Amino acid sequence: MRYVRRGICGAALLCVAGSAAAQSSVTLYGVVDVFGQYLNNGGNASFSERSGGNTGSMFGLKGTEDLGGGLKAIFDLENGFTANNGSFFADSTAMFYRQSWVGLSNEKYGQLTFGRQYQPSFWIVYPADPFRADELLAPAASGVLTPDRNTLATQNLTGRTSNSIFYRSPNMGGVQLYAMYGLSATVTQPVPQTTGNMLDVAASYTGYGLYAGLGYQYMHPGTATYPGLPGPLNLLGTEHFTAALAYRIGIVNLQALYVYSKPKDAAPHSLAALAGADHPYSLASFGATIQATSVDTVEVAIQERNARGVHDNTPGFEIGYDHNLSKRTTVYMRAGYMKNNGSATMSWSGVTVTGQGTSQTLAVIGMTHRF
Amino acid sequence: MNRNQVTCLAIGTLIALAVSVAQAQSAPSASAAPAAGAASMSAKEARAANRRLQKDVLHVLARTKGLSVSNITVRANDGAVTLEGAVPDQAQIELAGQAAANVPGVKSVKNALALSTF
Repeated sequence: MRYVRRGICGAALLCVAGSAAAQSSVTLYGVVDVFGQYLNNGGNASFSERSGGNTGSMFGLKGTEDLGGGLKAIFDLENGFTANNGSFFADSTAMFYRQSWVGLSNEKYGQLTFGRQYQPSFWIVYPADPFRADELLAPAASGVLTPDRNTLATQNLTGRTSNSIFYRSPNMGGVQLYAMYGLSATVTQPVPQTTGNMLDVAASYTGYGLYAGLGYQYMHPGTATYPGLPGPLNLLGTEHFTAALAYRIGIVNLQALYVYSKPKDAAPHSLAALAGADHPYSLASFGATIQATSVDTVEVAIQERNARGVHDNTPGFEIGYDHNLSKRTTVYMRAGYMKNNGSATMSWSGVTVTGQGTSQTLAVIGMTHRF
Repeated sequence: MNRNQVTCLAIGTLIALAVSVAQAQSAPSASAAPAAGAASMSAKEARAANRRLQKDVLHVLARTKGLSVSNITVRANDGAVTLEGAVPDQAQIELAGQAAANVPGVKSVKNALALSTF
């Protein structure tokens, strides 16, 4: 009897060992985020319900498979949606708009992944923005993504790239290196657009309460078709220089961010040159994240977006308050103001301003749940 | 006032606000520290020790493999450490708690980390 038992034990152990060698797991995760918004858009006040004010609503599947010898196969598929109306986020033709990639990960040598992914410059920016680069209500993200006729042919730092190869080094004593190459991509939303190849490299250091990051990205030329323009607009080859800094003093994390986007000269008589849509622009942001209590966080940021060589700039500020009801559920508030000077037309992402030089005031209250 | 002056003023106010909040926060921990044990330590020494331990924990967390530290705040009070802020998944909440517990000088860890995206 004892031997039988031993035999069963041994067989069970063998099974466990076998499954451990090829251990794999898949996790379903996501965020549901809805908020009520008050907006004063150049004197026109409105109320609306929107999604993704704290974090973009999403659901995703991510998984790993242990290949042995410290090597893992990894993947992530992440859908973006708007919880207020159940629609796809940003592009209704893209099922996994936010992320979709597969690749290999090694403890010693880092990870190499293929698909639609976050750019090195995004990874640099994220820790230095009090509003965590939220696509709707972070002023920094709004400043980068804002439609502006003076910079329409200057390509934006979009945060994600399709058709890309991405290398991320392991954490080497606080230092991390990132590199990405993306091949040309064509989309139909929000406007028909073809972007050229892109290269992005970045490095960051984290330690002793300090965070510092530098990124460089070059986007090759492309084209975009905007309604109201006489023809396809030639998008110029654009360099993006990104610097990010954060320092913790007690419960306060001071954060600073600078992005400079510089287009190549537009060819004479091209639409970009004729429309004057080829100006460089910069974005400077300074703020703080304050962990007031274990469950209360206060965010503040002031920033200015400035198109060079033309009277077009937008100073602004935003304050935020997050209260955690649990590890997964948060209620939050945001309030902000932006002053468009000259021909500036900036607002929070998704808002079309009523005219040039109008001021924008926003106040929201919302909740976000993670699973 | 031109725009630059307004910007400078705003930055100044922000820094003053941040520093005052930081000081308001460290004051109670300093007064509590000597009572909790180190009777020989002055309040100033206790404050310095808390700050040192906080930095040590932050540094260890930053070097912990597989842990995203950009949203973690550490409080330290006479060896009692509290982790606040957020990390991307449940496994990292536990990882951060274990890593902090192993830092020399840490007597206890209160783990108040929540979940975030990255």
